Parts: sequence; structure tokens; C-alpha cells
Amino acid sequence: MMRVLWLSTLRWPLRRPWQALLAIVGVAMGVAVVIAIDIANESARRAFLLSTATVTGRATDQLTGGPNGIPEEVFRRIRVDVGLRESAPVVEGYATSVTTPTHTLQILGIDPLSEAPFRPELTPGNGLGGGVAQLLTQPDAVLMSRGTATVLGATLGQPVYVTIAGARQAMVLVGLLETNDAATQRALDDLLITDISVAQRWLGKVGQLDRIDLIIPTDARGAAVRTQLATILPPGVRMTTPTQRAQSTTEMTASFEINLNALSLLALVVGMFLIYNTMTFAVVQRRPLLGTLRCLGVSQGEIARLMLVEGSVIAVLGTALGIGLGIGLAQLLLGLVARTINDIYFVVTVNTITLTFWPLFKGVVLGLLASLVALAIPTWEAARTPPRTVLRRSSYEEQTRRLVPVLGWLGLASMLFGGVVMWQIPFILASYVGLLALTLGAAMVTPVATVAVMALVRPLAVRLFGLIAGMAVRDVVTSLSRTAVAVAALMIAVAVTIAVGLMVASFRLTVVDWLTTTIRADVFVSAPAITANRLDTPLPAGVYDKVSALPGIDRVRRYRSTMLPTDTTPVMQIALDVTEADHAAFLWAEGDPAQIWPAFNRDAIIISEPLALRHRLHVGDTFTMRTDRGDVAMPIVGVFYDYGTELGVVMQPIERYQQFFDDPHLSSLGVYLPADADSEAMVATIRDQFPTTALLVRSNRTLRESSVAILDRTFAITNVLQLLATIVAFVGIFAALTAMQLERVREFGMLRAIGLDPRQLWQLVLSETGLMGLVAGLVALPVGTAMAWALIFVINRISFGWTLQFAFEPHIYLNALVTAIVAALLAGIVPAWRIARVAPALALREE
Amino acid sequence: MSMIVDLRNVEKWYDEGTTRRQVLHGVDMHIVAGERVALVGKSGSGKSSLLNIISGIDYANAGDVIIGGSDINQLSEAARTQFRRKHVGFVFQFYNLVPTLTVLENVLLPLELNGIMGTTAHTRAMQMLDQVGLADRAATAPDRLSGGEQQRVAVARALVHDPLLVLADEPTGNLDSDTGEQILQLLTHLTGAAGRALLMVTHSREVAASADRVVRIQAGHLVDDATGVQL
Repeated sequence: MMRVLWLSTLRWPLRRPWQALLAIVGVAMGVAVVIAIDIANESARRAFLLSTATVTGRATDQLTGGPNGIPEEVFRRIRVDVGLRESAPVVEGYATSVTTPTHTLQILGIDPLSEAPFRPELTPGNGLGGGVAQLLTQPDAVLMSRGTATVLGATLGQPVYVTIAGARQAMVLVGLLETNDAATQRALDDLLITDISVAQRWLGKVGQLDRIDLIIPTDARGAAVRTQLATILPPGVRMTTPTQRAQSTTEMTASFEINLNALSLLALVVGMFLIYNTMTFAVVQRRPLLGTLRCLGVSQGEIARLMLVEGSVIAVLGTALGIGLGIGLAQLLLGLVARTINDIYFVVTVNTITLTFWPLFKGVVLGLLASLVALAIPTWEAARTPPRTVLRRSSYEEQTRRLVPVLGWLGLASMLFGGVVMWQIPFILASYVGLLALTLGAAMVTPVATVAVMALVRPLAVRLFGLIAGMAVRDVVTSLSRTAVAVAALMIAVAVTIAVGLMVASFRLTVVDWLTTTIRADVFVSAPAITANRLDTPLPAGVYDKVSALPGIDRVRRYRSTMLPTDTTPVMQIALDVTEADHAAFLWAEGDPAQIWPAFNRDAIIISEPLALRHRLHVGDTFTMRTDRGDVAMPIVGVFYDYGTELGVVMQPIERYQQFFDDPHLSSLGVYLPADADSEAMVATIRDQFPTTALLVRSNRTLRESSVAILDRTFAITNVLQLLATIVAFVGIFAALTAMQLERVREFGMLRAIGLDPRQLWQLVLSETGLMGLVAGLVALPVGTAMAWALIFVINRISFGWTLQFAFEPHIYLNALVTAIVAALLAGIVPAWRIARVAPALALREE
Repeated sequence: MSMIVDLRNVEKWYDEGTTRRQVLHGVDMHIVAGERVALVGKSGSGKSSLLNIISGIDYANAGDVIIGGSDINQLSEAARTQFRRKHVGFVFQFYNLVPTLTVLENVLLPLELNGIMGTTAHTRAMQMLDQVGLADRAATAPDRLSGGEQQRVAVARALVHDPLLVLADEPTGNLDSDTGEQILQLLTHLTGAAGRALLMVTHSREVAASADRVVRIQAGHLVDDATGVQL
């Protein structure tokens, strides 16, 4: 295309740099949020996989046991009976830094004599040289990376302290783990290597192994080894590959990641509206110019190309800026993502982001694609600009107003389609398509709502505030082609705020109610755990007996919580004492309570709602549990509501659990007191009984509070994303309103010329923007409620399997309405200020 | 003299809901090369509709619109765009210069649209600016010019690609009488010299008087066709 024609368009943003800048910032923020979430998720996943790969080393297969691990005897038989020398026992666990309790360290207990074929980088000095020999000879000796040593303040030969299961533990640094490979070096950070016997002692696993790593050749000898192994392995011990294990762990976070990605996409959708808004204004502002160009013989295709290139420049600049911002934001979000994963799923230590190709590529593609989609309508609009004055502004607005009812019907149809898709197709992707259709439909209905609200408001506005208010109302309707887009963008942002607010409130209400129903004991005793929502760290031996024997106690209820492997993601297994008094602590999604308990006490299990939904299980089906006695299919007699983990829970009586698993441990105790007893006093009494044992003793109230605190913590990242989406929307509405008002500077100059003073101009501009905020807020109320309904009853249920109550919170609606009006008023301040300062003569000058 | 504009029984109407508003009734009109014609009439008489049809930015509902030998009413939108690009020059009441281009670039634009680039285009644009007396303002932005200067640039832009037909819609309507006179002289001189046809829509007696022929339109009918002097 011709150089001069290009210049005519490409110079346009330079004449209104702030407008172009706001569009670039809008796209950048949308892209930044998306890639930041992606990079943070990816960094956490890669950190986990890398550390898994590092501690797995060259193992081809792994033997894993049940909750109580593998007896050491199994290792001896592999070595002696099977003759597989390339086998190495491992004991794993976690510690935290004394100075920074949120800093988690992984303990890896190894047998230095078996290690050489598996993890050479963890055994410097050819297996027995350097610090490795000292692992065997020096008590509590550890190896760690130089970075970890620095963090812990450890120096060679000197003791350093960490916290293991709540207790302080001294260890001595005897050597540094160093490698030339940067990625491996990063994986070595936060890793403590010690002798297996030391790890067993520290972690309370004397006589047990967590796993046995094997290198089995792929030849005939390997096949023979596998056959031999099958004959000697106890029923509860299984062979898997390291990849399978890592994969099933990382799959636990799939729903969490999908939901974060969905929320981050909302920011991009708002960013799309922003670029749509900007380009629509660019077309509206340039309509006379485009008409002239068409007169001069510029074709529709050339006009379309001009607009596309201009929009693409904004998109490319916005995307590039977004990538930079996103990388910075990812570092900030990484902490929140890692904390949530640690709270809910598994332990991962990750402090720095890892940049990989895909999140960046996805950011670039999404940024450009979203911009192109957003550009489509304005480009089409620009291309069909008639030559010169066939269509004047007033007739264009008239045409727009004629389109309003059509758009309204289309919007309603789109919303209906969205609702039906979400209701009828129980897949996450369909739900998001439905939600998008609902959102776009609501945006299309907004012009109708704007006209209706203005018609209702006008008489009142004139009566209360006079003619200027009446003018403001009229202007909103007569400039519908511009106002409707800005109102729709703000409406969507506010609706998202309402939807996420109601979702979090509903979640909170449901979980608090659930905690009140299920947490019934007066005092809870458990061992400190790294993962906040799990109690799989065993209580030290003797605690149950000692607490049971305390005076002033009605009864003590035992719990054992472990993770059970399945073919897909692991599920939580809870074994517990259930008496008749405990029946009321369960709320049933499926099953007849009269039949549940007798069957439960006989041979059946009960499962949580998320597990039932995830594995499509119902009462009457069976669930196959991998026990130390082999696979056991247990009948399901009830499905209970549970909000502790979306991975799913299987519950059985503790006696039966101990029959099927060689695990005598307990995870926690629920202590029931007489009605008038002081639970805080009992907490103190129990703590006094175990002065040197690391125990978490909490009253019912404290446990509920800490559970709700964890819940709130997991929503911290949701709130950050919601805030970011709101900021993007605010940038959008600010850009739209500023452009819209400044475009009318000539009209305002005329009003000044006929006698309006600057104060009245302020009033006019702010009334107009305030009214737009009011419409956006009012429409956002039902739209936000519908989106919340979709999030709560469709998307959450599909993603996590939870049935939530709907929390109707009037303050969320009120806040949203006020936010919409205040945002619109704030966005009106700059144009009002600029317009009021322009001299009438200057404003009236023809451009 | 070759025929540039040949309108035969042109009809134009707009359907507004259930009613039809007829704005042109069987208009016949002819303009030959080198002729300068003024189209006069009251507001709403159909002047603009006729101009739009002749320029190819609107369709006639019936009749033939033969410009430079082609019936442009039968052309597609894309073909009419090409036709305008090549054969028509516009001068508007409010100049309608491209604000993002300099004076020179505004004049270069029709040349580039017609595939004339580089030194040839530059030389021709500068010659045109020289003819309208603005060669020294070539690098200036349009909004730095007075109204009269902007209209001179518009004249240069309308003529630079040597069109068959120049259409001027109230070319002096936004200018004072002296400046308007200058623009008129420039327009008639430059179109006449090159043998182009000029059609001016105007309310102004002075503009009409400067034309070779004046066509009056009333309620969509051509009612009068006389020389400017007769008028």
C-alpha cells in the first residue's frame, strides 16, 4: 500500500498519544496477567519435576509402599534374593528453616553405599569421598548446596538448626553439593542429603523406607528381575516408574491451574474490550477522514488494512510490554501460587520463576489473537464508512439506535445459549464457552438497558438537578455508539467483581457451615505438618494413651489420614472412630443415613462428593483400595459433603484400616469434654503433658479459625487477579470516557460561548460519566449474579466437585454499584478538567 | 468536445418505513470536457444527491449515469472506488484535508492512489502546489494554514492526478468573499486550462456567475439550464 496513505493512519496515534498509550497498557495488562499465572504455575510444576528428577536420579523403576512405607527387609531381599545390586533405599521428608518457617527444605535420606549408580551429583567424590564418607561416620551429618547453606547460615563442621515436624533438630554440614549444570544446581537448592538411618530417626520412620529406587535393564535379565521381584514383594508394595509418580502428583493441581488460568483470561477479555473500545473510538473520531479517503478513491479493503495495521501496532506493543510486565508479575504471584499448592496439594519449594517457551508463546498468541478479534468489528465499521457525507453523524447514531433492539434480542439469545450450554454440557470447556456467551450477551443487552435507564432517570434528573442534568441524560443516549461500548466494558468488569465476590463469599459460607458441622471435638491434637490441609504426619507414639488417660475427658476420637495412590491422582484416606454421637457431623449428598452407619461399621466405606463426581461413583458401587493386603474392593454406602480437598476422601473405621494397612500410627485426636469444661484449659493441660514433643494442640475455635485462615489464603491469588482485572477495566473506562469527552470539545466550547461556566461544564461531564457508571453498575448486578451462579454451581462443581450454598451478600452488590459510579466519575475528572480549562474560542476552532 | 457527464432519466428515492421519498425525478444532464457548470437550488432540492450519484458515492435507483463513457451505476462498489480514484477530483466546503499529512503529502495522496510514486509524483505535486501558490508551505501541517490556504491545497489535491471531472461542493461556502473569489478563479482557471469538466454545487450567485452554464434543480427536477451571465 502507498506510503502516504500509511502515514495518514500511522500518524494518528501520535496526535492522541495518551489514547494509544492507554490501549497499549490495557492489552499489556491483560497479557501480563495471563502469562504471569502461566509462568508461576509452570515454574512451580517444573521446580517440582526437577527436584523429583534430581532425587530420582537414574532410577528406571520405584517401589512404593502404603502409608507406613516399605519394611527395610524388602530392600535386603532385593539385594540378596533377587541379586539386584542397582537398588537404593530412600527416606524422604520435609523440614523448615528455623529463621524463616515458610522456607521448606526437602530431606533425602540415602544409603551412600548404594547411591553411586543413581544420583552421582548427590554423592560427590566418587560415592565415598569428600563429605559422603562423613555422612556415614558423623552423627546428624548433612550435605546441602552452597545456596542452602547460605540461607540457613550453615558453615562446614558447625551445627545448624531446622524444624522437623515442629521440633528443632540440629544437623552438621559436612559437604557442599555442587554441579556445573545450572538447572540441576537449582534443584539441589533446599535439599538436605543425609544418611538413611539419620533421616529415619529424624522423621520417625525407623525400620521403614519410603521407596526403593531400581535400575532394571530392558533386556532379558531385566525381565527376569521383574519376575523375581513380583514373587518377593509384599502385597502393599507396588512398582511404578518415576515419571508416573511425578505425573500423578502434578495432576493434583490441574483444577487449581485451570481455574487460575480462567480467571487470568478474564483480565484478557477485559483487555479485549479495551482494544475494541480504543479502535471503535479511533473509527468514530476518524469517520470524516475515512469518508474523505473513500471519496478520493481509497477502497474498503485498503481502509480495513489501515485500521488492522494500526490496531496490530497497538497489539504488538501491548503484547511486548505485557510479556515484560508478566515476567515481573509472575515473580510476585509465584509466592501465592506456591503457598496455595503447599497448603492444599503437595510440598514444593520454589523461589524463582523459570522462563519457558510455552507461557511466553501463549501470551504472544493470546495477546495478538485477542487484539485481532477485538479489532474485527471496528475494522469492519471503518471499511464500510460511506464516502464523505452520505451518512452524517446524526444518521449514524440513528442507525445505531435502530440496532439497539436487535442487539438486545441477540444478547438475550446469547445469554440463553450460554445458560443452556452450561446447564446441559458438564465439561469445563463447555462451561467456559457458556460463561463467555453469557458475558458477551450481557454486553449486547447493555445498550437497551442504557436507553431504558436513561428514560427512567431523565424526569427525575431534570427535576432535581435542572436542565444540565437533563442534557447529560440525553447525551448518553444520543451518543449511544460510543457510550454503550464504554458502559458495557465497565459493566463486565463490575460483574466479574460481583461474581468473584459472591463465589468467594459462597465458598466461605459453605466451608464455615461445614466446619461448624464437622468439627465437633473440643480439642484437637495433631503433629505439625508441612501441607496445611493434611494430617499425614503421624503423632508420636504414646500420645493417644496419655491423652485418653487425662482426667476431665469424655472420650478421645482417633483419626488416621494418609494419601492413597490410585490409577490417576491420589485420594485422601481417613480412618476414624465413629460413634452414634458423631453421626450428625456428616451431611449426605447420597445415601440413607439409617443404612449408612450399620454398613460402614460392617464392611462399607463412605466417600466424599468430589471423589464421587471425579470417579463417577455412587452408592452401591465399589471403590478399590490399594492396601498392604493387596487390592480390596469396598462397597460405597454413602456420599458426604466435604470441602477439605477436591482430590476426594475415602472414609472407613480405624479398626478396619489397621486390618488392611500395617500402619499403627494416628494422625490426630479429637478430644471431647463435658459440656461445661474449659477447652482452652484442656489445651494447656495437654501441652503440659508433652513438654518436649512437637504437638499442635488446638481448641475447636482455634482450629476453625485456622481452617478459615487457610481458606482465605487460598483465595488470596483470586483476589489479586480480581483486582488486576478491575484495574484493566478501569484503564479501559478511563480511556473510553476521556476519548469520548475530549472528542466533544467543540460542542463544549459552544456551550461555554453561550454562557455555561466551567463549574457547569464539570457538572455536565461528571453527570454524564456518573450516569454511565450507574447503568454499568445496575446492569452488572443481575449479570454478576448470573456469572456467580455459573461459577458456583457449574464451574466449581465440574472443577472441584463441590456443592456450594449461594451466599447472597448485599454489601457485595452495594460495593459493586458504588465502584461502578466512582470509577466512572474518576474517569470523568480528567476530561472535565481539561474541557473546563479550554478557552471557548479555541474549542470552537475547526480542526 | 467529448461528453464527460451524461445523465439519462436518473431517479433517486429513499424508502423510509412504509413511505418513499423521491429526491430526483428523471434527471437528464450533460457536461462536456472543459465545461464549467454550477448546480444551484434550495436546501433539500436534491443537489447533494445528484452530486453523490455523479461522483459514484451513491447509486441512482433508475436511469443511466455515464461518466467518461462508463455507466458507473452498473459498477460494483470496488469498481466505483477505482473510478473515483482515477477520474474524479473533489473540493469540499470544509476542505477535508487529512490532518495527519503535510500539505505536500495531501497532494501526493491521489497520485500514490493511482500508482504514481517517487520523483514523478513529487515533482507533479510540487508543480501543483506552485500553481496554487503554496510550494513554500509544502512541509506544513494543514491545521497551520488559513481557511483559504487549506482550500487551495484541496484544489491542488483535486487536480493533481488529472481527473476527467472535478466536483466542488460549496467550494467557497466557508470563506470570505475575497478569498472565495481567489479560490474560484484558481478552480476555474486550472480546470479550464486542462480541459476538465467542473461541476460546482453552490448557493452563491458569484460562483454561479463564474460558470459557463448554470443548472437549477427544484424538488428533484432540473428546471433551468442557462449560462452564468444569463442567470
